[in-house]
Amino acid sequence: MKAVAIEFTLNGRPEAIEVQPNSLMLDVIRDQFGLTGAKRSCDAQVCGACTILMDRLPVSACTTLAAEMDGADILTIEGLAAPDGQLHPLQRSFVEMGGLQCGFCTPGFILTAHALIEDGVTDETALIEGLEGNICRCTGYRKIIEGVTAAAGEIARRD
Amino acid sequence: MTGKDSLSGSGPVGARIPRLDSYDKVTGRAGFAGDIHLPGMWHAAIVKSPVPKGRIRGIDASEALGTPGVKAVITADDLRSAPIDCADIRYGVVVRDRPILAEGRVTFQGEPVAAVVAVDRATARSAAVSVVVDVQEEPAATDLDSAMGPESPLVHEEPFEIEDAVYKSPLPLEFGESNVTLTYVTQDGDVEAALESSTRRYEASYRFPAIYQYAMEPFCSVAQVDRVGISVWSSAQHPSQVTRDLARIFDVPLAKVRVVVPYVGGGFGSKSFTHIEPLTVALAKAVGRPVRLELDIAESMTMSRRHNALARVRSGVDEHGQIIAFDIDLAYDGGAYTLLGPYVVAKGAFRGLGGYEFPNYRATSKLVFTNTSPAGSMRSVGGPQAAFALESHLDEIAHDLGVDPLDFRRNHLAARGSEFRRGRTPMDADLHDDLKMLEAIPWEGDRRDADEGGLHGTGVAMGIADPGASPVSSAVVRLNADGSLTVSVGSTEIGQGVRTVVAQIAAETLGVPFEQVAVTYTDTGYGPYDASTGASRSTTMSGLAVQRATSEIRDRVVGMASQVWGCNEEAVEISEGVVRGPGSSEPLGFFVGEHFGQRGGNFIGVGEVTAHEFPTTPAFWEVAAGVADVTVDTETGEVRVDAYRSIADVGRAVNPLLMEGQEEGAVAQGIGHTLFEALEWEDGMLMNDSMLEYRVPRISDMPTYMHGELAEAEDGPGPFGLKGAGEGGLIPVGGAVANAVFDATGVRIRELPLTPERVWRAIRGMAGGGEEGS
Repeated sequence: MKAVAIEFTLNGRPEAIEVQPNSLMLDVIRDQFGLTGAKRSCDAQVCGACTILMDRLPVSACTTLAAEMDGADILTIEGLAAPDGQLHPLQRSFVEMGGLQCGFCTPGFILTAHALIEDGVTDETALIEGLEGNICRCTGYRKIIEGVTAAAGEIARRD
Repeated sequence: MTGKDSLSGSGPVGARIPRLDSYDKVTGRAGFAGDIHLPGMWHAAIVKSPVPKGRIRGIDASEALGTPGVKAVITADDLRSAPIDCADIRYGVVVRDRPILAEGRVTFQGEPVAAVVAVDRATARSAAVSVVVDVQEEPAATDLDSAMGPESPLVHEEPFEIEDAVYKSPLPLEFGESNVTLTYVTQDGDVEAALESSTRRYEASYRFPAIYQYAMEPFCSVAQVDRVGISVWSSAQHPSQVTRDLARIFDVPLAKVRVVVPYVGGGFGSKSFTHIEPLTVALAKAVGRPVRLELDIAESMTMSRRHNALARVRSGVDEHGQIIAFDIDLAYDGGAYTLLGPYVVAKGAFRGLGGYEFPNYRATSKLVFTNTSPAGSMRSVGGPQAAFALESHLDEIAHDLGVDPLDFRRNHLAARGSEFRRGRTPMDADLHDDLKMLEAIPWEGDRRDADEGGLHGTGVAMGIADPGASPVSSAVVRLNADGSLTVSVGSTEIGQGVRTVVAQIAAETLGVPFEQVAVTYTDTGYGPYDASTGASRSTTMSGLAVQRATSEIRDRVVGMASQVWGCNEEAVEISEGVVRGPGSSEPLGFFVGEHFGQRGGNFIGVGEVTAHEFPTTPAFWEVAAGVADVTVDTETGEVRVDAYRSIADVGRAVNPLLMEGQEEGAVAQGIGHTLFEALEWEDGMLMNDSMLEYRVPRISDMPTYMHGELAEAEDGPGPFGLKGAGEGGLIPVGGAVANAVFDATGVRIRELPLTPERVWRAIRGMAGGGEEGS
């Protein structure tokens, strides 16, 4: 197979690499860039643990070809906090509300919630609907809902 | 959920402190086994049995070996010879029956038969698919009911060696006669005579499905072998047990095996005991390089699961409506290998009797082999299966007698101090108070929209368990020269928050700010021993060891201060990292410097908990109860849990924020096995081996109203009067929801999960509606 040259923005910085046409976005982000916050779990676009934002929309990196990143703006969990380490309000809210336990699903949840909130979603019911594609096996979701709703309110007030 | 912020004082214990690992987990920095890269590391994949049972005639790996990037293909034939040199190829926590790779025969579909090592995971996995396993298929025992019959093919015909370590089987196992390998009985009184003299008798059967734990992180191990020893990084809950198995299998001293556990992406029992670590080490030895073996979900499903079960209950009440005879017969499907089976069935016997005082009772609990993937442990082993039967049955009797179901339970509760289970620890909780607390939780059903349609119902259930297995823990706490504390425990961080909780216990015990405490990750090469991380034991047992280790340091500092200042020890106190005496005060670290004669060094405190301290079991009774409010859509059969109210009797919550999270998570997993989840086999072939087909609860499945109360009577054996928790909340869910469905529809469904089809059929009186559970 012939490698494909792609250019994209990764967490705000320009990148240019060559990938195999059959390489998965998750493997490239994790292995080539060492950004391991996106996790492999279901391999089937069901659980959301591998969620990465592509042009502000959540995608399942486990079932997305790396070549599709060409020209896109990619945000992983590692790019969400401020460069000085200051947490994004969503991250802070997950910490304070106890919205995480084992932490395996957490990056995916936060990125999906981030996309929803950036899209103007603040209503709890709509947020729950938007998070239907992310599975958490530890928390029972209650504290995730509280965390996301609180952060959405805080961000709405700030904007 | 709500919990008291603090019972006494404003110290770290009782405070809603965010997890120590939260920052790293919300920024993607937290490292899991799958995130570890060692220089020169290769990747492995397993080749699986295509059938449930048969003789292996041959394994053709020629295509795989001809694939660029493939370095080796290993089968059972390679394990005993150099360079792998296994002293034994079988292991198991109770019985050494599980082979590293199937040898001679396969016993379930999906069983590892060979392994491929390649330069990367994708190459290894595609090469593994090309390996042809030629199996002469044999008749298999593919389901619980037929496996118990006299005509059934035997899963195992030969006996295996017994593992005499942490978990000893309560009874000898019997191989070769029948697939029923162990029958555990606990009883008191004369249940048959009492049944005879009963004024009313009841009899029913209940069925509970096989459940996949679905820890979101699939199994992953990295192994490196050098002249110093064996090092393994693994998603393991019980690294001390893995260390022991590796030392025995590869014939090296315990001191030369190091098992490191980074963050674990969920366990729920699936990662209890040794799974893929021996194979990963064997592969690393075979290729002379570090090797990583990372399974996918379908493969992880075959490592461990919850036992599906069939319960037959007979009971009798007297003229006053009191149960005078209770007889529960439980059969647990253990799959192809024993794993924790003997413990699961013994625990199930007690969990099937609950916290009730029955003058005559008997619980008979059987472990049955089938040619399906092995059943291991899952959150409250044997508990939800048995409690679903018990709590449904009590509900049936209460309705027949016209007694309120909650009152009916109240009439049978074991009183504090009662020896309600012969030979076991007397009841150590006030169950009446717990139920009062449950009743007091507000819920008027006013959130339900009357126009939405459907039938509404309410159901209650309790869950009383005998947890706290293997009360052996040790801890090392170091007071550093700057006054900070380093805490090391063998208990693993699987998401439950043990590192945060032991840091709180250490901070409170010595009197230092929480921010001054660090907790190391689990590493059997450096850290102290802990028997296991499970059975609601970490905060109690590891916590007790940490409290003792920290007290040792505290005593040392207080002794030094009283000498230096010439005062009584009673006059010395420590708070906020400062030691104070009459007219004097110094920071904690000052005394470390004084002792060593320079500003360096540390004080090391050691704490231990031994099994001798707990001559009777359980160490404590774990108590939970729940009330479910449901809506049943009669058109579709869909059940929705609108509200769930619960109590957990925890003695003392070290961190209510984390404790609530444990309870809420337990309820969610209970809703999973009650409404959606079931591993399904057809002729021994697993039919739903992906998360597309195996349905776990999603965010929208959660009740819109959840409220949990924590009973904190400070009456447990752990530090500050705490009892273990985290499993109990899951036990009542199945019974509470099924009882609510009965309340709504008038139809008793005795089989979980309550899928729309099953409920729809049940409402219409059609077959397949879980009418008799058999």
